[in-house]
Amino acid sequence: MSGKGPDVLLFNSLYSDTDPYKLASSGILLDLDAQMETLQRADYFEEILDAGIVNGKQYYIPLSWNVLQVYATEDKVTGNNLYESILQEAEKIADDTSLGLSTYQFFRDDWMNLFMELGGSQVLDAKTGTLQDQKEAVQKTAEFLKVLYGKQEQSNTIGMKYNNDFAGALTHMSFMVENFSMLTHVRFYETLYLRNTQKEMAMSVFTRQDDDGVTAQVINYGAINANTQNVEAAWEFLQSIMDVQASVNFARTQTEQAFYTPVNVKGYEECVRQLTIQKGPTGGKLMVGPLSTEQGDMLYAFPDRITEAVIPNTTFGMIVQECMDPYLQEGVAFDTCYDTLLQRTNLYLSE
Amino acid sequence: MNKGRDKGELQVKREMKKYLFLLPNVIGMLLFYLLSMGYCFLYAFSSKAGRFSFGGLKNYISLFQSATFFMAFTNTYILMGICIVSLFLLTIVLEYVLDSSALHLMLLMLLSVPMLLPPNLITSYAVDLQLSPRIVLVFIFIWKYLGFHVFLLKMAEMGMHTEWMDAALLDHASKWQMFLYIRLPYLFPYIRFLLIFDGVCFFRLFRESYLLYGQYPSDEVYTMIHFFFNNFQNMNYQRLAAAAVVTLVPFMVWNIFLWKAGDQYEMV
Repeated sequence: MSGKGPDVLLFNSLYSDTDPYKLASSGILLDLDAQMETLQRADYFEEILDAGIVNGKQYYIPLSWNVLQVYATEDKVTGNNLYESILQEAEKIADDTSLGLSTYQFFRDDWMNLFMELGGSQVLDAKTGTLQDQKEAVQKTAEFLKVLYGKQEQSNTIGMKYNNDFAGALTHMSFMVENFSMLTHVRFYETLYLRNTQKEMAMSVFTRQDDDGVTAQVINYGAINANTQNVEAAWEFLQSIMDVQASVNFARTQTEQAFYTPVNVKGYEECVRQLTIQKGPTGGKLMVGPLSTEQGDMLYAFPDRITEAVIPNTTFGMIVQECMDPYLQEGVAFDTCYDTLLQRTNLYLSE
Repeated sequence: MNKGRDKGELQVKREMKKYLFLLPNVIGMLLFYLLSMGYCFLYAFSSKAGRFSFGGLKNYISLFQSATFFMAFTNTYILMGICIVSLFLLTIVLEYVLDSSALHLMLLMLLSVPMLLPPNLITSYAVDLQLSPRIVLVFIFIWKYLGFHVFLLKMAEMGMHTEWMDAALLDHASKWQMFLYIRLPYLFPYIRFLLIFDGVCFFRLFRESYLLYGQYPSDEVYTMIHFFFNNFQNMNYQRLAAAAVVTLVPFMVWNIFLWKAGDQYEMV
């Protein structure tokens, strides 16, 4: 229809190196502000929808989302602050080489950027296209991450030892950090923890540093080619994907088919309902049962905790990582790394 | 009469053959150089990527308002100037010091090897030096091309008439005088070629810069190639085209100057 490239572009933030900020800034995507006015915003999670704003204009339509989840037995998470719980646990297991701090199923190499997104300390504000100088918050994130890096080698050794042995991993690892589908994993780990540790599972998420809000990551998102000759049809197609009820059959979920959380409110609630009545995937002796009412209620209420959402920008994330790696892994002073980060972010934004 | 006509026909055939042999070059030049350059000029006036949509001087205005573009532009030509001047001073020194003996030529051949080596060999070493990025890049540039430059000049010098030097020796000319008044003017066309070649080589230095300092290096070594590369990756083709046109201007002026300037000094 456009004659030059596709009319609708679909992205996956976990499996591509797309730079959503630069792509939107290049003028190749259609500004969807007019289309958004026709949308019944109450039918969708508004904070998630807003993640599609770049430089003050809506260029992307978020289609699904996720949060970085941390699974542990209830006794490992003290109070509400996950950051502190992890730091305390890291100290506790410091001298025990048989224990690891955490497994990390991130599927992202830009750890620093990821934790800056979660903690609300991003230096790049894509929504306004501005640089945010938040040294204190970034330092706090970096200091936390440095502890994780310090424990990583030991954690990896334990992780390798119990590779494909969930029971072993659960008893030797304090936390399981997952970036795969929250909906799939809550039910999966609930069964797994009960079966292998005889303890209740607790799911936690990293909150923002300045409040208890949670930042969600947009996983699938779509946009319209600025050169399209049929905007209406392209928009209609995008909307149909937003409302699609395709991701509710969790019974056959395998790792390759991780279903992420829909942006449509009713779609989300239907997913949770299905989780509480369906049996999960089976493998070996494992049979994942339906989600408990308690965890179901937690999931129903979960969207209320989300105060912000971002489309992960792993391209920029790698710039952040390059700048902060000397601090995280080589002992270079934080100030030096932070100055480099500001200089590069400035370059990134102004070029 | 017939003989004259045959001769004429033969000449036409010869002329045609000449052009026929030139044709592949002309087609190649058109396809890979002139047409793509023309398209680039045109694209610089597009307001968006993908479909051409006339946007006037929008891209140029936006470029000239960008501090980052100016920084990249000035960095490029400053760094290029430092690299080429340093390389040439060293080339001239080595050209003066070394003679055409087998040992020296062997040494020059060894010095030329870095040009063929993969860039990561030197970059890993350069990182350990912890020097200013600009110094590191100048060092890499010299390391890569010095041997080749002197080697090429030495090879060219071997074609020089030995009688000129003999005559100069008879007139008691010093080594420096012979170098200044005979060897250097003789080598001028080759030097001119190398100066043009160096401009191209400088842009190839991006590989090492990228390996060392990534997509966004420190301000002092952020050059036009970074600007091009990043805008290409971000599909901002119209901005990239406008930047390429602006960058081309001094480069072309320099090349035309070199092409025209030294004709009167040529001895070959």
